[in-house]
Amino acid sequence: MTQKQPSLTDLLRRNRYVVVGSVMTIFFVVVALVGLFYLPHDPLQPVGPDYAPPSLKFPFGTTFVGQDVFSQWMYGARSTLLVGFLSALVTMVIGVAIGMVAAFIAFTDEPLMRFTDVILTLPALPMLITIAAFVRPTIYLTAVLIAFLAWPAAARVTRSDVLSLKESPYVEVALLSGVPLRYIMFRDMLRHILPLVLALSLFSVIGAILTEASLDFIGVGPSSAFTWGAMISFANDANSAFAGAWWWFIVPGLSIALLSTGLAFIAYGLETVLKEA
Amino acid sequence: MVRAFLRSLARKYTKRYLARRIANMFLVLFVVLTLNFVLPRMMPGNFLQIFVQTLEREHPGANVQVLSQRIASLYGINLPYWAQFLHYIQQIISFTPNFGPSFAYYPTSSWYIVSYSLEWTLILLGTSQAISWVIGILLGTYMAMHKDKTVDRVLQPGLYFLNTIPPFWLGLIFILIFAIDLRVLPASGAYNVTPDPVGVITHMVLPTAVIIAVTLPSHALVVRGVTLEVLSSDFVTVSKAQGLKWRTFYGRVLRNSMLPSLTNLFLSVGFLIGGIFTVEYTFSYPGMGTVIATAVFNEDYPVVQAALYITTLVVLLCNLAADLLYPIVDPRVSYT
Repeated sequence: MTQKQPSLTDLLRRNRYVVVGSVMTIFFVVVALVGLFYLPHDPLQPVGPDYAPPSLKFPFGTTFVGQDVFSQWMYGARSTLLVGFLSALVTMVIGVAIGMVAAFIAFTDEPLMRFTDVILTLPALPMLITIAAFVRPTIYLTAVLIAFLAWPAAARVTRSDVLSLKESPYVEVALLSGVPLRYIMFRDMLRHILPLVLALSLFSVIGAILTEASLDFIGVGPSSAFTWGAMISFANDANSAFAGAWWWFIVPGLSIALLSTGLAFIAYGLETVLKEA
Repeated sequence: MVRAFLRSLARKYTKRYLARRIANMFLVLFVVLTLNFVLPRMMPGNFLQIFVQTLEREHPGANVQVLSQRIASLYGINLPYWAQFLHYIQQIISFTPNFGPSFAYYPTSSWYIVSYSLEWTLILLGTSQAISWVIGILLGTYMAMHKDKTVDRVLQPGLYFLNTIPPFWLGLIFILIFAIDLRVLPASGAYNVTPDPVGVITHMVLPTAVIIAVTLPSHALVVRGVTLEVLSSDFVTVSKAQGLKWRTFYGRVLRNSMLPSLTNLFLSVGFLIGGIFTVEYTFSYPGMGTVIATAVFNEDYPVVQAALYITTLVVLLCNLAADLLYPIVDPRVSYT
């Protein structure tokens, strides 16, 4: 015991992927938070000339009716993040619950896993398009619907992880010494699978943001919530590419990609650190 | 004795596996059909009325009485729910599945519209995935062989970034650069006036390039992972000790890492196909994506339903292909 084992936080802080990813993610979270209190212009009202290219007054230019793209971008950050994180939360709650039940209660394992396989096979985006075409969901319902089709990965990972953990000596010792099963389940197990679940949930955030943007683009999304996906969709509907107004859709698309890359970096760094630790 | 026992065990396992996969297919189909059945009935108000109104709006002057009677008989509207469901299933499994006439192109059957557009989607899917898979294999193997060198260190985050780009957004960028600024490639459609080979190919270049760009990362990263596993296996150590020529060595590693990624290719179609739809819509390519988006805009519900059904069939067939490829990939698995 000459050298102190580096703690998990130290390892994370030393991982370049985690650091860069965190900076990228925090940037967009800050944009969304600032947007709650301050927007340079009303994002939905015409405030300038139509199709003004980027300038000092309008950093990202204006839309075909003179709305400020910069304000829209700040305004869109909140609903984009909301869809992503809400959907990931629901995904993880369903996935972890089903995975844990399947791993702990033997007779539910087979039916639950078959059910998971069925949901996994369904083509998610075409399903969501069809559902949304009929019921026109709000942004909250969209997030939940995305989660309803996204949980199988989390359930599978949780199940296999808990199963291998269940076989580990320390759980056996705990069981033998009379610690109740539910105590082990919720205290120890949950704490053990938490980092893994965190990495997975970051990927669900990415998936949900991309799925919502695709729904908006096809024309069935909650476009009144003005996510970045809706901005691209409006720009496409107005044929802004043919009008040469690249500034309208470049920024929201790039923001989705950069935010997702940031989240993917954190998740990837988390995975490597956990593998090494 | 022991060997016979083991063989019978293996046989039992694989048969069970196959039965499970087939049951899974039918369950998936059942879920999709149930969804298609329930959704119109969940609409606020009477969906029959909504359908007839939409038809009337799309085709002013149509005989409303005849229309509503036709739709009512198509959906078996006056029966109890379970009988409606059976009636519906019967319509779907008949030889040309009957989803009813398209509202926007009345009286063309929506199945006809969707199955026509499927050809274009499959052309796009097949071409792009064949190219993307080959590049992915070469790139992934190369990255694995140069693990932790500069190439790998730069390419990996680059691929993560490429993986998160919204496909339809990349399509818009490509239109902006290649069709509007440089004017070298057409921005929309699939052919000029008639589908001549040159026109079809030039129209395919941009959508295919977008799909390749956004699907390449997953193929490359999967192959990289598999190759790393192969590289750490015993036969590689032996091959290295034998002092094989670099090309022979590369070939051996490639063969072992190629097949697992092929099953992955077929399994990923369920994820890919949604992204391909959005790309098609960006380029107004006459595939399923454009048909769905147009149908959504026109509230052409039967076409949306038929599109979901046919998409599910394609995904299920691809999954079946992946299952059938498994024993070829891994000789230890057999379905006898």
